[in-house]
Amino acid sequence: MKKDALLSIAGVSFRYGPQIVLKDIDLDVERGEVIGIIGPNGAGKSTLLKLIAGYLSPDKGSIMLSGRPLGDYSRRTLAKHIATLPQTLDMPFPYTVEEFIVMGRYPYDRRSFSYGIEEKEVVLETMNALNIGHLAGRQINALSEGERQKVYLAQCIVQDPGILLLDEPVSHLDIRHQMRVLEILENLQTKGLTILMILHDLNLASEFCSRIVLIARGSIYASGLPAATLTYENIEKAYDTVVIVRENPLSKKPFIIPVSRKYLKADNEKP
Amino acid sequence: MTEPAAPIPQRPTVLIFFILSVLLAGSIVLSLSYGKDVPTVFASLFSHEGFGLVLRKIRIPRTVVAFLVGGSLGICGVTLQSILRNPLAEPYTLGISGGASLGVTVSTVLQMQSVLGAYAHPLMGFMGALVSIIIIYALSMRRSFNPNSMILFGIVVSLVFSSIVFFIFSLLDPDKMQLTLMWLMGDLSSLDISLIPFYVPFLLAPSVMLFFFGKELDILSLGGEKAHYLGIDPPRSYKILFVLTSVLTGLCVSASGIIGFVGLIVPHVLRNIVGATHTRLLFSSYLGGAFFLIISDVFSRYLLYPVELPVGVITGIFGGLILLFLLMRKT
Repeated sequence: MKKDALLSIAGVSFRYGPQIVLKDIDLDVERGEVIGIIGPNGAGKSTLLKLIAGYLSPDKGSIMLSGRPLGDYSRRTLAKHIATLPQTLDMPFPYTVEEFIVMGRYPYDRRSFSYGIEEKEVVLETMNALNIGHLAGRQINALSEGERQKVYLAQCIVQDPGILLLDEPVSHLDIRHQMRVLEILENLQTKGLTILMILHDLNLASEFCSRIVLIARGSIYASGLPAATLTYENIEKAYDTVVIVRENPLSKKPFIIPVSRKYLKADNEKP
Repeated sequence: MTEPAAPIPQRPTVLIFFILSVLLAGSIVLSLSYGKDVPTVFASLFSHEGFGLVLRKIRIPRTVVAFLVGGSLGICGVTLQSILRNPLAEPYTLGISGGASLGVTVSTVLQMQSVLGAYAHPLMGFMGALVSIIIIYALSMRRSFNPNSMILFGIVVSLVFSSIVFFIFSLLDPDKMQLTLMWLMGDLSSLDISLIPFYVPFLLAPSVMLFFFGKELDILSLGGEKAHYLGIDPPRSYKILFVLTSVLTGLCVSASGIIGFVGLIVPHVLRNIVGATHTRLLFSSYLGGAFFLIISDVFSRYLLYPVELPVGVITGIFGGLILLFLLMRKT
């Protein structure tokens, strides 16, 4: 465990009832990293994110933020350091985009009844930076999936956090919106934000993350640079699925091709 | 390429609040002056006989209580809808009114007034409301809070409690039953006016406190998990808000019985007009709830004059029709 790590997770275990979800997780995160958390469904990825966000408490082990245990932070203070976007966020009420995004300023604005002009300016700036300024007066529920995801992200950004935790931020988006959202995140990283996100698309993880953490059956199976972790051995073991790994000709990052079983019978060799 | 930010359409908030205030003021004048012209009413305000007495002893207290109860039910609805993230939540559907009515019934049957004095009914109403909300919350709180199961448990608790109330009533003698049945259906006519100085501060104070929770209700309406991430401790907020809504519901029920639909229909209509933001919704629902109950009370008094209807019947019919209309229009 490094002393100066932004986020330091040591020996963390978590059980949900009798079922052990995570066991002995060790992970140090440095400022400015973009970490892609990958792994099969039910491996414990979302639980790990909720533990880091302070929503769940570990049964064993410790999570430190800037050298202090998470539990030492008040909820409001923690919300200024970590912004989290859960996997699903449904909206029962017809908030407009602007009304929704400004809620990200809640930890900062102590006014009783409304948000201050300066908070609204932060919101406007962020909306323009994400190219969603034209949506300000629209109702959240009337937006397309891609637009809505950007709006959700904008709320996290106006929270002005050091760490962004995202649970499958691009899973329901078409390829264009996937790229736009991930480019926004890339841009945030260059401004010093640290990002941990759960991704199901291994190729997107490979392209956009500086580090991959592969979780399988509640433990970290592999952790490191994409080229070191996204090997066909690791993926086949963790996912129990045959893949071919090549190299993206432009980025030189690993490129994963899933292989259908029906082609395996004829040709049983692996590349 | 950046798309230019379109100007954000501002809701005409000031205008909406002005219209609401005018409607409310109109309903108050109507409630005080029905059957008389306004100058007579003003003249009688300072007189101690004739219509002045009617104003002092009946119309003013009744209008004050309708105002406070209507407003309180409106904001209780807003609060519960945000917490449960469901526009159908209100004290009535959640069984909180049912609990309060059981408390008041117990107080009546055991004649607790002889022990606790005039405050027995409001106090027992609050206790009943609190007990029912604690039961519902505890049932829906296994491991983590589940708003949907809270609604279902609320309906169950509501049915059980009202059955117990009816069971107790069936043991009463028939004369008493008629009166208590009126009260149970929501009735502003049987109020003990000596309690008005008690109801005014104790219905106003929790309401004013709720107004300060607008921004928090916005965050809570995003769900417990997201609220947590935005710096709130949801279980703590829920508890405070449940106590405030229990005080309001308990006192409302002890004052005027079970008046359904106000907490449901008022926020529902106003959300379409002022938007979902809770600070605006709380203030406008207080005014709107007060207006709705005062005007319903006027109808209950004069629709079948000289027979007086329980106001809960009027709000139920009105509210049901408005809601039906809104739902039909949406689909």
